[in-house]
This record gives sequence, C-alpha cells and structure tokens, in this order.
Amino acid sequence: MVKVVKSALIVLAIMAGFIAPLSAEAAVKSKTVHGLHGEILIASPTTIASGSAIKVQGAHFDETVGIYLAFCVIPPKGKVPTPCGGGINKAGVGDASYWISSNPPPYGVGLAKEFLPGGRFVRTIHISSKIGKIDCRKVRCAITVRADHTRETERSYDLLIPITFSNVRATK
Amino acid sequence: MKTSTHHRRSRGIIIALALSAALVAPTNAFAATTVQGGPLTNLNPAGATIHMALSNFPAKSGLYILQCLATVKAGATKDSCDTTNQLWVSNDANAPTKPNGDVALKVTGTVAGTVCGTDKCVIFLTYDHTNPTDRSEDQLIPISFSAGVTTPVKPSDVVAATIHGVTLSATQPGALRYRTPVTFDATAKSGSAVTAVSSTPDCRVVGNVITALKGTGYCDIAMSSAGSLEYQATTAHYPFALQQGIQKISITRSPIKLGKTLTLRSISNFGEKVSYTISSATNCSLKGVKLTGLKKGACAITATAPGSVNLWAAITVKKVIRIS
Repeated sequence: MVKVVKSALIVLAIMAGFIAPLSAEAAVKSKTVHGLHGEILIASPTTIASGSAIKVQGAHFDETVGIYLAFCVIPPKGKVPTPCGGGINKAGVGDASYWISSNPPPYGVGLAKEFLPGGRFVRTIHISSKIGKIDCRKVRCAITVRADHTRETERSYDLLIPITFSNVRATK
Repeated sequence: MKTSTHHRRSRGIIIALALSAALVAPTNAFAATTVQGGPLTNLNPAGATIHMALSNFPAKSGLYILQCLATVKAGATKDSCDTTNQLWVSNDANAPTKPNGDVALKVTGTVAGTVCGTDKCVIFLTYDHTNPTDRSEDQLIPISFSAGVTTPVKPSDVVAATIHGVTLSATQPGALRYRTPVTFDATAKSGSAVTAVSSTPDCRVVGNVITALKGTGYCDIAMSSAGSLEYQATTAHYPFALQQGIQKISITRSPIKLGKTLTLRSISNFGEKVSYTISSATNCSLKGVKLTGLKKGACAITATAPGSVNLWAAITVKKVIRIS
C-alpha cells in the first residue's frame, strides 16, 4: 500500500515537472567500488541535482599512501583524473576536493586530513554539474580517488564512481 | 658453523660464477626486498652512513649490500664496488648484520678509483654466497654526493631516547603496534632540542608521538639534534618492528532497563563491521545491533569482527549485560 502511494506520488511529481524522471530508488542509490589494494569507496547518492552534496566514505585504504578525493572528468583508462572541481587541493580541505594523508610531507602537516584507523574516511563533497567550462551533463564525471602528488604517476590507487545529474537544481 | 675463511671462499665462488655477468637494471621489479631509509643524496664524500630498514626480506638466503659504481655487473662486484664496507645481511647466526635492525652502510665519495659525484654510484643489493647465481634480488639504489668535503671540527652530538623508561636501541628493533601511539622522550648531550621524523612511510611522527600505520615490516625513526657550539649536529636512527594492532569492540557496562532497547556499536575501533549473537532469547532479543530487554536477568551476547591481513586480527568478545 505504501509502495503504491509512493509510486503514485512520483508519477504525479514527474508530470508536474518537479523532479527528473528517475525512480526514488535511483535518486538515493549509493555505489561501492573496490580497489586493487583492498580499499573500498562508497558514494551516496550517485544521481544528484547540481549543487548537491555527496557523502563519500572510504575504508581499508593503505594509510601509508596519501590520496586526493575529488570530483573530476573521467579520464581515459590509465590516465590521471583531470580536470577536477577544486583542482589539486594541496591546501587540504575544500568542499570540492580533499587531501587525505596520514604521513604527508612536512608542508602538508596540518593541511592534509589523517585517515581514521582502519584506513577510513568520511567526507561530504558539494558538486556542481560544471567543472570549469566542462558540463558534466554532457561529459562523464565521477567521484575520484588517486594517490597524491607524492606518487603522481601511480595509477593503481585510482578509483572512480560516475555521477549523473538530475534536471532539478539543489535547494539551498 | 660457517667460518670466516669459508665465507671468503664463498664470496670468491660468487665472483667465479659470474662468467656471463649482466648489467643490473636500476630497479628490479622482481626483487622482493623493500629498502627504505637514507640519506641518499647530498652525501659527504669524506664518508657518510646510510641507514636502511628492510622489509619483505627473502627467507631462503641473505643479501650482500654494498656501494658500487652504477656500471656494476651482477655477480662481479670485485672491481667496481667497495667490498671493504660491504654488509652481509642475513638471519644466519654468523652474519654481522641482521635484516630486522638498522642496516647501516658506510659510503664514500670514491669507489674503485672513480669519483661518485651525483650520478656514478649506487647501493647494490644482491643475494649472498648461499644463493650466488640467483639474480632475482639484485637491485640498484642511486646515491649522490655533495661537491665539497666536510671536515668535522667538533665531536658529534649524542642523542638518547626512551619509551616508557626503556632506552631505545639503534640495533635491536623496538616494537610498535598498528595504530597504537607511543610517546618517546629524547635528549641530546648538547642540550639542543631533538626532532624526530619517520624515515619510512609505514610510521608517522607528530611531536614526540610515533604511530605505526602498518602491522608488519619495520620503521626507522630518525631523531636529530641541531648540535651546539660544542657539538656537531647528529641524527640517531632507531628501528621498530611493526606488529598487528589490537582490535576492540566497545560494549556498554550499563544494564538495560526492562522493555528498553540498546543500540550496540556497529563497528570496531578499526571500522570493521561488528556482528552480534545472543545465547538465549529468554531475557533479551536481538535484531541487528538493537538489543532489547525482555525479562530481568542476564543477557549473554557475543560480538565478532573480522581481521585485516597484516593490520589486525579478528576478534570475538563475550559479554553479559544485565536486564534490570
């Protein structure tokens, strides 16, 4: 009964143009990916309105390897994720990218955020559908993780979770 | 029991076997041994010591570690290496250097008549005389020297460090558990402040607190004094063997009131998912992490969390919670 009412409300909302034609399940769907070194990355939701926040969680990351967490254009396979919203965030914390490292270089102490025990982190990323002039409604973009600039060319730590945009704007 | 004569003879055999010696690649993707430490650059050509921590050390044989010209050929070290300061690193009882400690190699700015400069010398790792033809552990680590010669004019400062009152050793590794911070006290004979850094990425040092970020391998903690008018700056190196961390599941000691529901911790201190079971549903019920008191008495619960390879072991905790 509840499901029927819920579906009816969604249909009505779509007809009224209030929300994009997506199922309620898809709208809140989280996605999990596993890395080559046993790390786990979870993003939720993966379909959002531009300007919305995505909760990103990590676990079992190698705490000796610093990472950048950012929203980027999906690169060709084997290439570094770029460009990214917020750029490479050596300043540490932003709302579009994060530097997470338990053992940063001296200049990064106090800027990079440490992993929680167990190689964990939880971050919220506010995302716009635009990265510079690139429109992520037309180009595939993703929540990405890569080894930080101390391992610039190391691609085995790359992870990505594609993000799609609904047609409504996030409410402020 | 291996004698020193036997040892020399074996080394001779190594050289003799190197009939078709091949140039060693700068890096060897097949070498299991991981070398961390330093310094590797701006070394004093009058003499310097490179401190190394080895991990993934081969079980079947030991290694020779020595300074060589970058053109060294595998199995033919006699003419292009400094064999005087060569280290024999092995778990063999006769080996002077053990793999689980601070591996300190003395290097100089000239090898086999060639000035090393910035690009002509390397540290060469290769299997010892017990496995002389196996090239799988050969690897070269570039080193470079500064242009000038620094002549010590003052005695070196002396750094001493303790953890919980126990003096740290430069040769016998201390123990560090994953994610179990330890606080050290360090002093210098000069009275200067001592600063510490981890030479290896598997540990971090913040102030005077060391934290292991892995549960296996070794860390080298370098403690430095800037010296004083009377003493030259110095750095002491302390090796630590890393051990698995202790996983914990926090369960309340407080009783549950009859009819009330307690939400148990869903993760361990390392973030592992905790699973609960109850031995009897008479006094309590369990749904996921929700424990409800049904009847006054004892409620025995068992909590388990999985382990993570080389970081922490799985854990099972049994606890009785009173229903009041």
